[in-house]
Amino acid sequence: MQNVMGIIPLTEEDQLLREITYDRPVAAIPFGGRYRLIDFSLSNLVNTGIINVSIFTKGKYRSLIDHLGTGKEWGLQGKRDGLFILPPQQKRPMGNDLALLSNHLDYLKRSKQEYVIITKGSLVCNINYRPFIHQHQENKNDVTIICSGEGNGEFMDSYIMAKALLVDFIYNSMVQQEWKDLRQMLADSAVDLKINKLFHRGYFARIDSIASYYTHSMGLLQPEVQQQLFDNDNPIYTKSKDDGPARYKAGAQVRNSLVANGCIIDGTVENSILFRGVKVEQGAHVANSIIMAKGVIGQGSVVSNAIFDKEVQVGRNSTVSGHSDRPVAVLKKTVI
Amino acid sequence: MGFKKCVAMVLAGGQGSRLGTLTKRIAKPAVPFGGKYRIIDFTLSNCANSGIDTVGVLTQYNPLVLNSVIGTGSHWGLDVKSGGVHILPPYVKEDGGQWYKGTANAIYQNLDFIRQYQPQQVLVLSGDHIYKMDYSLMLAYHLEKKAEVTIAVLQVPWQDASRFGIMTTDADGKIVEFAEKPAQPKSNLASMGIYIFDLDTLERFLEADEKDSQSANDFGKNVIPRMLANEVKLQAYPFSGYWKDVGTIHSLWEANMDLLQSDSGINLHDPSWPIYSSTPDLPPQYVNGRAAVLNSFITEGCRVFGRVEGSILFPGVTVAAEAVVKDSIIMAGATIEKGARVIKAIVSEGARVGAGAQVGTGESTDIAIVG
Repeated sequence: MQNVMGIIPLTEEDQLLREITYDRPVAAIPFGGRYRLIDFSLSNLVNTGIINVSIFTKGKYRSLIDHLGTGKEWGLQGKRDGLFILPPQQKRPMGNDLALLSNHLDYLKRSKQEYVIITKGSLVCNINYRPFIHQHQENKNDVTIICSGEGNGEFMDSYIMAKALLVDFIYNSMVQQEWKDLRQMLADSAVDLKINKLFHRGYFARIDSIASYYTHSMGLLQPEVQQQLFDNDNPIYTKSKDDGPARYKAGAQVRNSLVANGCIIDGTVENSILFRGVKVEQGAHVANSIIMAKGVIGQGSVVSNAIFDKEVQVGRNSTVSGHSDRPVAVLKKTVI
Repeated sequence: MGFKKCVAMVLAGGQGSRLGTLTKRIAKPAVPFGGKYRIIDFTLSNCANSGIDTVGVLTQYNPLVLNSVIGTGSHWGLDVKSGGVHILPPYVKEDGGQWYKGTANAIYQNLDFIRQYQPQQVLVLSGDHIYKMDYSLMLAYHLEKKAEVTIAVLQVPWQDASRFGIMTTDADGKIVEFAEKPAQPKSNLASMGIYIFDLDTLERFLEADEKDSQSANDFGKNVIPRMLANEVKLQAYPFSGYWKDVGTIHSLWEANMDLLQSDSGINLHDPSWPIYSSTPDLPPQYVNGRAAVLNSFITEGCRVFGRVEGSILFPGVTVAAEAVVKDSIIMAGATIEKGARVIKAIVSEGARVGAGAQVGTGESTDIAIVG
């Protein structure tokens, strides 16, 4: 796949994910016990054999850069191409994907690849793009759009096209001073272009609200979903940390949960996801919740239907409970 | 080559034959430990945390897994611009070559490697001990006492003393007598096999030892006694803390079980002295609704549908429904199938314990091994 480059414009709006996007873009939201949302798209591109991957950011990109580093954990630190994190330039439009990409036209022009795959940083799926790229080339499509083969055939915000076509779209927008997003641009040009749909069979989830974050996180507790998302042949890579194994003490009662390394559990955990280094003390009870890294649930406390950002501390004998259709989200470093 | 104050040499060439099938195809330092580590991770992490950035790892027996575990040293932050970790197998020189004959001969054959960095001191370590130690403190002690050689020592229970190299010291810690595995030990200060040598002293005595055709070319048996007899200034550096030589199946199992006790003295969750290792690309562990896990360590990629008690599961282990794992160590990728019972056992990497099978009984003092 030397002739294809990957582009991830982080255009996601974060209003519906308030508490957990306070200081991070949607793509950097911790997910699944040890990942960030962007790990899925990034790993998919890398597993496809793509070595030139760019991430166009809008703002709040500190934690993203900290997480991605040089791209080493995704195998993108080689001598050729690699991972490019491209922050916005001031006074350039950022409103939609084409506008965001126009910030770094140089990078697009300089890249040697002939084709681009454009996808989002907030899609949870495990997809190898090779067969899609081959089909695109065989069919001589101008644009291939990838949709989910499950359910209602939802569009997966992923496109394959010639780099030249993308650059044309951007140039035309610059000249006309009119910035449509890619979807709109394609809709308007549909008559002149050969646009085909291809379908991906496999789990797919889009995270665009606290509700969908919660629902799809809980979905990970099903072994069938785990099997589809976490495939040994196409692993999901992420930044690794040096936590020890998860430690289950004498009082541990864990049922139907995902637990990351470094956790120390001496209480009850049910239907929940514990990120790394979370402590659940004796007599504490965590149910139907997502506790991000380094959270502490004190002795005798009860936490249910909650989403805790990192480092939330719940003191002894306290209660934090949300509702199953309206989980309570708690900001990073809150002390209760 | 930059100058280095101290170069570390890790002896990792041994088979560890008393570990039976566990070292059939891999060297002892590469044996998995503690749920996500290999034995050598402790020594290498100690080096990194002590600020030592130049480490030679001497390999000989079945080194392939060890070599890939060490890689460029990136897991320990040892992939640095100058120095770093170097794998040192025996090699042929102009006048021929030979396998490492003993611990001292292994260092002797690699003096050229050490000399590249022109260090003043050389730290000789073993790759098969479980412990946490700040070598910079031992080095400071060595310099303060103006020693030519410093040997780290540990107080052992008197009834165990005859298994070790035993040191007798004066009030200032100077070694006055040394006996290798004495029948009647005069002291209970045991050598940990951790040495700091002044380079020139080391060179002199390694050369003399090479010329001695009767010598077993071993530090403990030959070089240290010769140094003592020749009035080299040898100091004993007292170490207190957890230390285990996991040379037998039993001690390996015991050391793993020690990790599960809060008061054993070894803590893998201490951020002030992390033990580094490679992290597999696997999702977090999944513990099913019908599962039960108590007093155990579990790592990434594990899927637990049965009961796990007092045990350690390495990455990617599956414990099926109605299976029971107790007081056991299950290595990476192994599968314990439905209804199987594994008690007081070690299950090797990738092994399968079939449905309904019974491994180990917990009654005997023996540790059952599968795979």
